[in-house]
Amino acid sequence: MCFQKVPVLASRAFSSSARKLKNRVPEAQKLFQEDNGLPVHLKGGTQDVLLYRITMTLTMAVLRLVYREPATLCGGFSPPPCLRRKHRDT
Amino acid sequence: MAHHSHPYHMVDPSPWPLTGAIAALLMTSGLAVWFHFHSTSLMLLGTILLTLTVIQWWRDIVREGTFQGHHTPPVQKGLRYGMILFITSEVLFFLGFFWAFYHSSLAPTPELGGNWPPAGITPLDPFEVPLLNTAVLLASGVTVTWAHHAIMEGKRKQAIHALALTILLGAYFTFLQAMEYNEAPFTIADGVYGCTFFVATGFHGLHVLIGSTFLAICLARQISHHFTSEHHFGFEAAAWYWHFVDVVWLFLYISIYWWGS
Repeated sequence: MCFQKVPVLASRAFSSSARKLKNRVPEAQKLFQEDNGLPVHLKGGTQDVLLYRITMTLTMAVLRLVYREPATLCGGFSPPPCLRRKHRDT
Repeated sequence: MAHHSHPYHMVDPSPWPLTGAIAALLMTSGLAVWFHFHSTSLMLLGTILLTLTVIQWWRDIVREGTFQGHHTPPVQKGLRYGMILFITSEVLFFLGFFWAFYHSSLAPTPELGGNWPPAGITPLDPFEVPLLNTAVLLASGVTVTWAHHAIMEGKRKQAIHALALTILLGAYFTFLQAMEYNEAPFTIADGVYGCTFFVATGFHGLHVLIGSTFLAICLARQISHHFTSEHHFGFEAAAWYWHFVDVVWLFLYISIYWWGS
């Protein structure tokens, strides 16, 4: 039965499936022009907030790790006494 | 959203300059850690953060331009100046490596045997794969121009095909160059010849990867109906960058591959 479709499939335009891609720009324009006070980096919804939180958490965590525990990322090397913090609070 | 009576873009507060700056710090510190303590963790983390930053930052610029309409003609003019200045800075970056090459090759020292190429170095034949690479990049310059004209004339399908072909040619160049790197009879450690060759062509290869990525984003945007026949600066910027990459290759080919052999 499906073999009857072969001549049709073989002769249709190559990119006719691409034509089925709907133009979503007007929807996006409506979403990002909504007057809700949200900055552009969070205006897309929950995915934006999640990605922002992951990025910021990772940034701060790595910065804290490097500043407080340099030995962790230097293969066990500890800074010499002259470079160590005098009053460590950990 | 703020309503204003001027055509300029007052951007929303954004966290990406901060995360980008920290990512760059971690990447460069990580590079030093790799060199001295043989651990790549910090550099890898820095790279991941940089990738997250640039994805979200450029995603936001697309939103501001295509979805919010902030890229008015004066704003676009600023973006054009910005891209031109950035490419100019990249030209100066490569100028330094060409300076290094000509400094060493115009007056070869006795340690090199007083010759260029130095004694013991077998250079690559400029009329084999390097010539093919030249043809591939020149052809990609033609296809990217074809894509531009197709966009300006509203020919959506043609623009998609031409842009896809440009990216394929870029990938073919990268593949051929990777093969050449693998089979080269000299390494980066082989004196000043190896050093100037691999640093100059290596940075060029990195720019090919960046340019190909930029073009791929433009292909996705073209498919998603972001570009109009009058307004498609993102594509123009990618095309300018691609032509710059092509021109750098032509200088590399003539100086290092051809004259330098």
